[in-house]
Order: sequence, then structure tokens, then C-alpha cells
Amino acid sequence: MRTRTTSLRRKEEIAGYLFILPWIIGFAVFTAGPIAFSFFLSFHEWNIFNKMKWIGLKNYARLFSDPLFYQSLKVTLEYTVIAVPLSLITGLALALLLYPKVKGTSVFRTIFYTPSVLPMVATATLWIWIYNPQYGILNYLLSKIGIKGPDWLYSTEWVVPAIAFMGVWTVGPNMIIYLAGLEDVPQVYWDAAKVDGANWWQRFRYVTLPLLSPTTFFLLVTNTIGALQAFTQAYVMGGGGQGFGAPANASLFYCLYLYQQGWSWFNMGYASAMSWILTLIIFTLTMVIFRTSRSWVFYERG
Amino acid sequence: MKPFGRFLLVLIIIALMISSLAYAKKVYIRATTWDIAEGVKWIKEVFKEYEKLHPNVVINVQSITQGYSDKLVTSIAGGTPPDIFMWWDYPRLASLGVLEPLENVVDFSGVYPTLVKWVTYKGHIWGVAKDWTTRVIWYNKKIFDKYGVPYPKEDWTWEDFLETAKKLTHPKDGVYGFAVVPDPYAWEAWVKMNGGDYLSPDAKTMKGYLNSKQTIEAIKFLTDLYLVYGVSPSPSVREAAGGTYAMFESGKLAMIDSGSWFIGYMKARNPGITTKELAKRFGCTFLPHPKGKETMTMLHNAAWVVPKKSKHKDIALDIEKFLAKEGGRVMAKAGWALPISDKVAKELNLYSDPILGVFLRSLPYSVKDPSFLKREDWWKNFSKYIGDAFDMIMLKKMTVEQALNWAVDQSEQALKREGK
Repeated sequence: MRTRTTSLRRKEEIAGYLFILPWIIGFAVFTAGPIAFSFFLSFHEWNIFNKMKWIGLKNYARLFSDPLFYQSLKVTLEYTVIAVPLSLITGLALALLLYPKVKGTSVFRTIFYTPSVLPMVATATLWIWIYNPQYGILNYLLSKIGIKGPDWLYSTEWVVPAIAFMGVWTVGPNMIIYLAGLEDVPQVYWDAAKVDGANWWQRFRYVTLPLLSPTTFFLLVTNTIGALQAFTQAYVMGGGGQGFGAPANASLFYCLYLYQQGWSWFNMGYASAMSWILTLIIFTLTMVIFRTSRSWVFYERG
Repeated sequence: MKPFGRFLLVLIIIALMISSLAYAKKVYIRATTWDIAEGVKWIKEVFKEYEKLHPNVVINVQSITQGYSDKLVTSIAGGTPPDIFMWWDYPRLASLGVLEPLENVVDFSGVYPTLVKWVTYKGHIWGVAKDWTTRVIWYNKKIFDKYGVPYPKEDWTWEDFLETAKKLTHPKDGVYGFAVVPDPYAWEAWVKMNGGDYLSPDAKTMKGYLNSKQTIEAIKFLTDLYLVYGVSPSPSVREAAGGTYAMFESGKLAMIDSGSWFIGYMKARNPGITTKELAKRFGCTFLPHPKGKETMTMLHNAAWVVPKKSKHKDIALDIEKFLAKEGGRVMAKAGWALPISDKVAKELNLYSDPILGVFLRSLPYSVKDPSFLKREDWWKNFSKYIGDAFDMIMLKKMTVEQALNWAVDQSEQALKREGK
């Protein structure tokens, strides 16, 4: 009896592995392989054509004396600091608005989710128009309330915030995840709070928010990683489409500079070193968020 | 019926075998270009002439519109390049040793010497020009007529140019005199005709050249057009107008600094329009020059090059020979592009053309030693910082002098980082 179950188990195991084999091969060849290769490359000088030349840590040393590296880091961090809280707050606000089961909520949910389905390039092109200082609708609306809008994408001060504000447009996934989080909150908690005399704000602040903290935690981590890797928006929108990092490198996002090093100038080693530094930054930030999470993330325990 | 059926079958098989034999004999050549639509059409017409002379060769033209250089470079690195392709940044590929030099194979005697010089790097000739354009000042005649400003002459100075631009600027009507579009490549002519330069003659540094008095003066002249005299629309106004050409064509912009691409732009919107018809609405003339100095211009020339790893190198090189001899006749005859041979230009009587004639006559004024042909790392370690400096000036973050000094400094640091 025993041997038969073992052999059945073994058979099932083999079958299981066979079933996931295509994925394992794909992962090894197209993901793990290139990752390992890029690590290897980061210690070399290589322009695709010439023989790779081992240069040790020189790529990293060059990186730390490259003003554009710091510029791109600054731009990306500024973007992250604006974009992440903004899209979390907007996502939560929309979820709270669309949570009550009133007639037509599903229509609104769809409407708010729709922009997230559009390709980023299309969205970015659209927003170039919205942001046009002379003819764009944003400055037109601002002028109606007596504010003279800035030059947005053509200004070194506003180009990054402008690109970050656009992120609100694609907040759909955050909204959906918050909605799912809200569905998990048992109605009784709110009812109990209500009975205890808590007002709307108190119920939100002391019941909803803590119960949503695991969701917030998850979104904070994924959105931060996404923001640090932002590329398409910057590629399309910089200086209103005037070129890489325009104006004057004010929109030179980290991944944009990485791409330029790799694919415009074929400094593959340098670009690889840059990507490993980014990996390190992402890893560190994620660890920091995880560490702090103990003090503000609450899990329901039975 | 049955024997007949078998007979038919045998006949079909024989026919298939014969045709496949003929098919097998054909050589397929892969050519790539970044041209689109009508540009590709005319390239195919040129290659058709070659195919007529060599019935066993079929040239497939592939148009790559997105990320041309990335895709091409990766295909070369991967060992599967096209057999012949269009290119423009010769130093980069030539320095990597992946291109076939052509000077011992192709007879360049019929090609404009300037065009040959502009594809020469480190003593070798790397391509046969497909077509070319110098930069000229295009002007919209309707705007000149409206404000009673005389059309510019070919021999005009920077002062004349500034005065003309001022007279044509009427913010109330939304009309501007000239579009200032900072571009290190295009502005090299303006800098050089003022006696300035970007690079030192030995191409080692920009120090003392990019920040020389003459260079500063030239860049100040150009950027002041926007910053001080206000004769130029801002980038956002141009963008909103649908781009520089659209703004120029629609009569909101009187003059632009551009190449023969504008002819293609107009042809795409008005199929069949000839340059003579175009000349009724638009004119073009030489770039203005500083007083007492001679005009210069920048050349844009794309050329066909052959990679060392071409699968059919002999045929690709033979095509290069043919292209040099053909001299751009097919495209010139169709009015699509400027010919690469003076013989063809004269034969087609293009010098008397009100528009093409200007381009042909300006060709000898192309700058003598363009910076991008001096260093393979020109774009990365020099041009990039010049472009950044221009941005800083236009955004009023720095004065011309500060910005150019800053660019020199950035470039020096970049070279040092790379140990060059």
C-alpha cells in the first residue's frame, strides 16, 4: 500500500513539474538568465560588438561621479514622493465613493477604471495636450479661477510634478484593490462603531483605515516599485515630447537615463551597473517599508 | 480519364520543378531604411532599375520606423544584419569595424565631392549618399506680402535677417518671424560662419572653442531672437500649432531653418505638386551670414552602407557601384530628392529650379569639417551637453556664456570618467 502511494505521489510530482516545465524554461532563459548576465555585465565594458573587457568596479565608480546619475536619481525620487501618495489617496477616495451598493456603482467603477486600460503612450500624448500652457484645458480652467498656470512640461520645476499628477488618471487598479479590501471588512465592525456613537470620520479613521492597512501596505510597496521604474511617461512627455529628459534633463528619469546609456550609446556595462543600483535602491526601500509596517499594519486575527 | 490525370500530374510536377529551379537561382537582398510611404516607394523604384539589369537579384526593402538604430545595431551584433542599409552616423559603426569601406570598390568620381567627404571617417569612404539636403531659410511669401516686407536675398547678413524677422512678427495676429529651435547639429553652421567652433582642431576638447568669443556671439544671436527680440514662438506654441511645418504652412510663422524635407511634407499633403508650384507660395534662400563673412550650411546626408557580415556582400557592393553611377537620377527625375551627381542635376536642368536650385548652389557652402565626423563619441560626450546648454539658455537658467562654459566643463568631466 505504502509503496503504491509513494509511486503515485512521485508520478504526480513528475507530472506537476512537467506541466510547469515550459514556465521554468521560459523563466530561466528569458528572466533569470538575463538577470545573471546583467550582473556579470556590470563589471565589464561592452558595446555589444567589442569583446567584453573586465573592468571590475569601474562602472560603479564612474556612476558615482556622474552628475546625470544623481540628476536622474533626484528626478525619480521626486516623482515617487509625489506620485505614490497621490495615487494611494485617490485610489482610496474612489473606492470609498464607489463602495456603497447603490444603483449604477458598477458603471462608475468601469468609468474610473477605463483610463488604466489605455496604453500609456496614448495617455501620455493626450496629457501633453492637457498640459499645453497656451492651449491646454488645464491652464484654461486655472485661468477661470484666476490662476496663471505654469509652463508644465516645458518648465524644469513643473515637468516632474506634471508627470506625477498624470498618474491619478491610471489609478484604476489601486481603486479595485481598495474596493476588494473594503469588501473584506465585516459590516458588523461599522455597525458596532455606529452603535458606540462614532461619527463618519471616526469610523473611517479608527475602523476602516486600520482594517485596510494590509491593502495600503501592499499598494505602497507595489506602487513605489512601479514609480521607481517609471519610463514610458517620461519617454513620451519630457519637454512636451522635445526629447530625452527635456527640458535640460529635468525629466531625465532613472530608467530613461539607463535606456539612453544602453541603447543610444551602447554602454551596456554601465547600463547594467545602473540597473543593479536601482535594484538595490528598490530592495532597500521595500525593506524599510516592511520594517515600519509592524507599527502601522494591522492584521485581523480571530 | 485516368491516364490523362496522371499525365497532368506529371506535367504539374515538372512545371513546379522548373519554376522552383528558377526560383532557387534568385538571390534575395535585404535592404533597410527608416523612410516611410513615398520615400520607400522611390527607393523601390531605384532598386527596380538594378533588378532590371540583374534579373536574378530581388531586393526587398524593409522600412523600420521605430527604433531604427537600436534594431539595426542589434541585428549587426547578432550576426544577421541586412545586406545593405541606410545610415547616417558613420563614425559610430565605422569605429566598431562592422562596415565595409567602399573607396576601392565604388567609383565616386560622379558624386558631389562634398557628399563623399561627409561620409568619410578615418580616411575611408563608408557609404553612397541616397539623397541629401543642406539647411536653408524657407519663407512663406504670403506673410511677407501681407506685411509688405521684401523677400530675402541670397546674400544677406544677420542684421538683415533680424530686421526681417522683427518686421514679420505680429503677436496680435499670432504671427512670428522665425522659429528658434535649438539644435547643436543645425547650429554648427551658424557658429562656424562666425569664426567659432564646437571642437578643437585636434578634436580633443571643446575648451576654448565652444566657449570662445565667436561661438558665444553666434549662440547669443540665435537665442536672443527668442529671448530678447521675441520673434520666435515658444516650443509650446509650436507644439500646439501641430509643429513647426504646420505653423509655417498655415501662415503663422514667416521663416524656418530647415532642409528639403519641407518639399516632402508639402508633397504628402498636395500629391503631384511640383517645386515650381510650391515656389509660388514658398521660397528658400541661403542662411544669413555675419557681416563681411561668408555663409555656411549644414548638410544632412543619409547613405547606403554595407555591413561586413552581409550575406551577399558581392551583390551589395555591386548595388553600391550602381547607386553611385545612377547618381540619384530616378528620384530626382520624379522630383522626390536631390541627385547625388552634378551631371544628373545639370542634365535635368535643376539649377534653374526656383527651389532645388538653391539647395544645389548651397551645397559647396557646407561646413568643411563637421564635428560629428571627428569623434565616434560625439553625441554622447559633446553634443548632448551642448544641447543641455541650449536648453538652459532658452529657459533663462543661465546666460549664454555660463551655459557654454558649463557644457565644456561637463564634457571634460565625462571624458575624464571614461579615461579619454
